[in-house]
Amino acid sequence: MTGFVMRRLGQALFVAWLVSLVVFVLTRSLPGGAAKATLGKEATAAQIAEFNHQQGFDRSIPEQYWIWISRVVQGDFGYSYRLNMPVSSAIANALPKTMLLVGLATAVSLLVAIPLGSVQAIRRGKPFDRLIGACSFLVYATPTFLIGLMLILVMAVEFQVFPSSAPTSDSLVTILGSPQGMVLPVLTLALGNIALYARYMRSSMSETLTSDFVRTARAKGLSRAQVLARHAVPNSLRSVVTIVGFSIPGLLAGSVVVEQVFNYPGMGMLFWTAAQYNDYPTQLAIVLLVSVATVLGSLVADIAYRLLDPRVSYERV
Amino acid sequence: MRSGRKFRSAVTAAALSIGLAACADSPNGTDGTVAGGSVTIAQLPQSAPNYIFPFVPPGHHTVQNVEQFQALMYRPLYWIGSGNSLAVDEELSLAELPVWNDTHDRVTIELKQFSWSDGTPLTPRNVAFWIGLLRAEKKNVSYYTPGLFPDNLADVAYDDKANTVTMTLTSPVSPDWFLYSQLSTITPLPEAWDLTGPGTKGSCSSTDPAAQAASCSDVYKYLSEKAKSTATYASEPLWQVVNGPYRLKSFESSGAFTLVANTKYSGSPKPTISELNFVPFTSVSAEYDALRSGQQLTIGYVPSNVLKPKKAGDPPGESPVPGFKLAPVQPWGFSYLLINFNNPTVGPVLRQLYIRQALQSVVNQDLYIEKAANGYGQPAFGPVPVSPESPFTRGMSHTNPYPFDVSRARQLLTSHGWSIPAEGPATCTDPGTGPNQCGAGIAQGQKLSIELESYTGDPAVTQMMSQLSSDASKAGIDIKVTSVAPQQMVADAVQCMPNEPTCKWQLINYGTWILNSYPSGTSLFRTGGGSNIGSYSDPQMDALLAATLTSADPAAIAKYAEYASEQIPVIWLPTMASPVYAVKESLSGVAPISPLFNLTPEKWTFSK
Repeated sequence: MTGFVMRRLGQALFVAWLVSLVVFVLTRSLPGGAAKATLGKEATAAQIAEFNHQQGFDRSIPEQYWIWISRVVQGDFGYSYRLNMPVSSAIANALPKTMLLVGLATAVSLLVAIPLGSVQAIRRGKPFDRLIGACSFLVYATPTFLIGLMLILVMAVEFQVFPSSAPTSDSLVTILGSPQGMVLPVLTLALGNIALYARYMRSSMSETLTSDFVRTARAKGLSRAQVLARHAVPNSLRSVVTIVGFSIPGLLAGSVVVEQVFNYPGMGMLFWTAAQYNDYPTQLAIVLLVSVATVLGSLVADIAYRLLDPRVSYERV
Repeated sequence: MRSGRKFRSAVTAAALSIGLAACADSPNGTDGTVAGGSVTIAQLPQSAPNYIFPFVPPGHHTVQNVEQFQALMYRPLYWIGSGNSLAVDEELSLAELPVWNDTHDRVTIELKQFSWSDGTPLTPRNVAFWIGLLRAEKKNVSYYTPGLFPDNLADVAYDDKANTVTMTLTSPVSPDWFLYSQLSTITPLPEAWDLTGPGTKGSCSSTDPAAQAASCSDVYKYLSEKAKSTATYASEPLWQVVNGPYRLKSFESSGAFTLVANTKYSGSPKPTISELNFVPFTSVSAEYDALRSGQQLTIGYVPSNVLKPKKAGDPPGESPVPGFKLAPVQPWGFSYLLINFNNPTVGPVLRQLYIRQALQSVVNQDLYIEKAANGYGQPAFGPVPVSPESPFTRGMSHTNPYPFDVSRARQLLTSHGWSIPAEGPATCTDPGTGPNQCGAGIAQGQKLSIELESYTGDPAVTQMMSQLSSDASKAGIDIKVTSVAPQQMVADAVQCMPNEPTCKWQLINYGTWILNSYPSGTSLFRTGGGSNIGSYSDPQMDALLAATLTSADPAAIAKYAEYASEQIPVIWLPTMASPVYAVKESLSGVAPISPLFNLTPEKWTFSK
């Protein structure tokens, strides 16, 4: 297992490096450049040249990449001229907020989806299963921004039960101090996930309930609740764990749609505005983080898989 | 002189609200106003301030940094624009109006009796500090144009006793230009900032140029490094030394910040609003939802597509949000299509004045304002807006020389050797340089087909371009509109020579150009001007533009503007009101908001 983990960590580093190289070259090839995007369309040729010189954009691309990667390995992601702050500060401000939002949404999704999918599987084919299934499809097919806007229209504008905007503070303490502001954005993100996780749970659970070991457990005299809790549910979680593992990058990347609709600037908005304004250092730093998170996310899923099912082995034969 | 600002960064509004709660505990004025209270102001998307040091580098010179953040704490020498006026606001300025000698090459500025919040008086050394920094770090400030201030300063004399600064220039200048375009950029800096390190005094505020030269670069380096630390803006003691009506109480990297009244403000009027909360928004819809959902916004903004239609020129209509009144801002600028006079295919065509007249004649400005902005806009037919009245539009014609008239456009083409079929673009059938021929460089059979690049992201713009193309086709002008991302559009708009690969663009919808308080179009229309992207060149225009900088003729701007209006160096488009503020009915003194986007919260009051 240790060897497996070390190999995957090595893979993560390699993938991150490769992604950073590709993205670095691609962003430098985009039209416009950072100067005009940052200085504005009124910028003169002299101002653009001075900006490019100060930021090092007048050097060759390999040279620029070497300078950038040398700093990254020392923990320096560079400086965002547009934001007027180090990129690491910008990420440090946005990341906790994104992790809070996506983390809460994922937790809520799992708390609802696992029991819901389980009950669907137990009552498969019955009206309850069909009803929940139809609702899941409907929610899953609805774009996230539409769910958000509908919730705002009803819950914020019409009935004024919750605020339409999430708290805008940099401090998580302040944000958590106004929990009512987080209800709608968390709900918006969670609804789509609930639909997805519940479907996977139902499918996995349906298969597990017909398996030999469950029949054996029943035959041994365990109660229905015991069979479900000790055997059926844990063995059905593998597919959900895989899906959740692949959603870990979302903890870092955020959701630009939800952030924009609910005025909750996190990593999603940070990346989106960096792309809008050709803010290369910020773009690259976020891409790097997300690529590492993607590989690590699948590693976490694999480890969880192993823990859930001792038969799984990752050792090389 | 730098002449544009980031337009979309104009508005800031605060969402968190203490709102009117504090008013209840404040003493009431006898005139029906309530002292105290706080105002929450919504900021436009991606428009939070991020630079506090009022010596602003390119890229950070935005409305949200300068006019709506720094200026509330650090007053400029001359305050330009207040309400509907574009003149100097003498009450808010730190100096009396400048006094010129007869030859307009020497000016004396008398500072008012003002003081900083640390108790030190406003003195000529505060102005010297600014000039010293400018001389040492010209390329690091947005205001600098080679050859202009401070390059045109022959000498500066500082008189502490008389509290005056006397500038001797290298040559005579237009007093209006120098005041509105050069002196207005000066923000006196407190001597408390004259440091090269923590506790290490510099000599940049010295009146001795040699001492300044030895120190100013180090002082700039220290202060600009401080300015990079947005997390310390509210806690750093340096930034708390202010002379404006407000000082910074808190600042977050998200862009949310709070200003509180400066109790040591020595100017007038004294602020009655005790706290200003500015809150950022990620999108217009998020802000509008907050406004509609009753979150305590005192000043927000309303997207134009939800406004009740009205006639252009009529007063603002009813607010779609109850309890608020509308206060649209008509920007001091103009919208336009850039013309590439060097494009190898259509350059010769676009160089013909009659072609540009025909193009201008198919721009239905009234319709655009009505349909795309619900009546919240005004026509533009020159480089200087006709409204509001400014000190520079005296005597200027307020009539559009090329109103919408498709038949006139057709007549212009047919009278210059073009044949217009029943369908499709006009064709040059009589090439040549005679008065009734197509013009130099236009070949027999050339079709009048032009590519117009516009930008995505604004349905109103898409609507306008579509209408333009439709109307132009009726005159035999085939305009092919393509829409690209704004960054692509900005990247494509480069000054070029006909043989260069970057010269493929023909017309570009370049959005709105926001003018400085002194609307000289030198950078835009002078041959070789820094922002003359289309490579327009006209010796008469050059002469008129030069006069705007050097002539004492008060009609210099009007003469240049009327010539530009006739010559159409760019295709003029209407300028839409943006943003359209929504101001709580109990708050007065806000509207009308200056077209230069200045905020003057010291003039705001709550009514009972």
